[in-house]
Amino acid sequence: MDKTLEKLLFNPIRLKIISFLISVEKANFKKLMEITDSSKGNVSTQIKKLENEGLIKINKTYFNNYPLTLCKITNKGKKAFQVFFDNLTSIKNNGLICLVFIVLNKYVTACFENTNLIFLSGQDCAKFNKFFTLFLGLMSDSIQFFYFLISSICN
Amino acid sequence: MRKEDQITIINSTINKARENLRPLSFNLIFWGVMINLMSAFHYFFKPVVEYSTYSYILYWIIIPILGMVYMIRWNIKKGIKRGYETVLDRTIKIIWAVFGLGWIIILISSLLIRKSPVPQILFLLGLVLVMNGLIIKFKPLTFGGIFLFIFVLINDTNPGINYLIVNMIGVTLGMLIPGLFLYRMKNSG
Repeated sequence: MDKTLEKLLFNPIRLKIISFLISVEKANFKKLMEITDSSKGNVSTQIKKLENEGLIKINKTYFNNYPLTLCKITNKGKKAFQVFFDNLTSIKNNGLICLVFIVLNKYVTACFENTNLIFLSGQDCAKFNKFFTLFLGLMSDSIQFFYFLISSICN
Repeated sequence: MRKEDQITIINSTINKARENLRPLSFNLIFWGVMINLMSAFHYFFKPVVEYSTYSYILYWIIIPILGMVYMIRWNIKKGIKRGYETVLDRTIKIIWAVFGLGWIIILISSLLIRKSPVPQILFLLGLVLVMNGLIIKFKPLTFGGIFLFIFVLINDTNPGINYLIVNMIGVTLGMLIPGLFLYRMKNSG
């Protein structure tokens, strides 16, 4: 993901503004102040930064002789938000997959520790089961490692 | 800021952009009441409204246009007060703007061919109401539009029928009652 975008949306106020604008057609300045729970100056600075990056479009007009500032997300903004959100959720999914692997690893280890798959007599059987369990654990950990290696390269 | 916090911020902010259908219900009630009052006044005070050839034409053009101007201003004010516009709001706004344009075209053409514009306007209104009902997934509004289609059919098969009565019943079933239902539904949450 673009580092500038990541840095830009790392600020919670800017993230709130862009998240709100993605779900509506347009919003006025007052509403953005309410959504972000911030001061006039702060919101003004943040929307200017977003506009400079081309993520939103600001339209200044008048209604009943009062100034009215309307903000609208641009196509570039929509795409950027999509990339940002996909990146966030993929990290979340990676976390879930990691959890699944850990649980699976523990389950497989526990199963093979308690089961004699090959009936060998005496000490050989115990030794075989121990190595077999270790081998399975190593395999499972390796799959996890390669999965994260590949996913981090792809992202 | 952690990734989880960012996801929480995005979710909570998106949830704040809620659809609000109360302005639509007020629009429906307003037009339902207004058309009914105008039709009733025309029906009971026929000599006053039809005083001259053009008096009733002016009556049915000027008052709705004034109503349109008032409602456009009211909708803009409400929109600014609300602070945002969703895609659904924009869609409904465009549909009613097209209806307004269609209404003007029908009025002009009916004046030129000297024929009552009521069936055409009711048909157009029925179409708009069915579209609105389907878009906002509100069955009374869809059925209201279908009622208007039935009234257009009755109108066509009975040429001698009183247009004012048809107008009143059609608008009551198509706009006023669905508008009240929508208002009540949105009020009760």
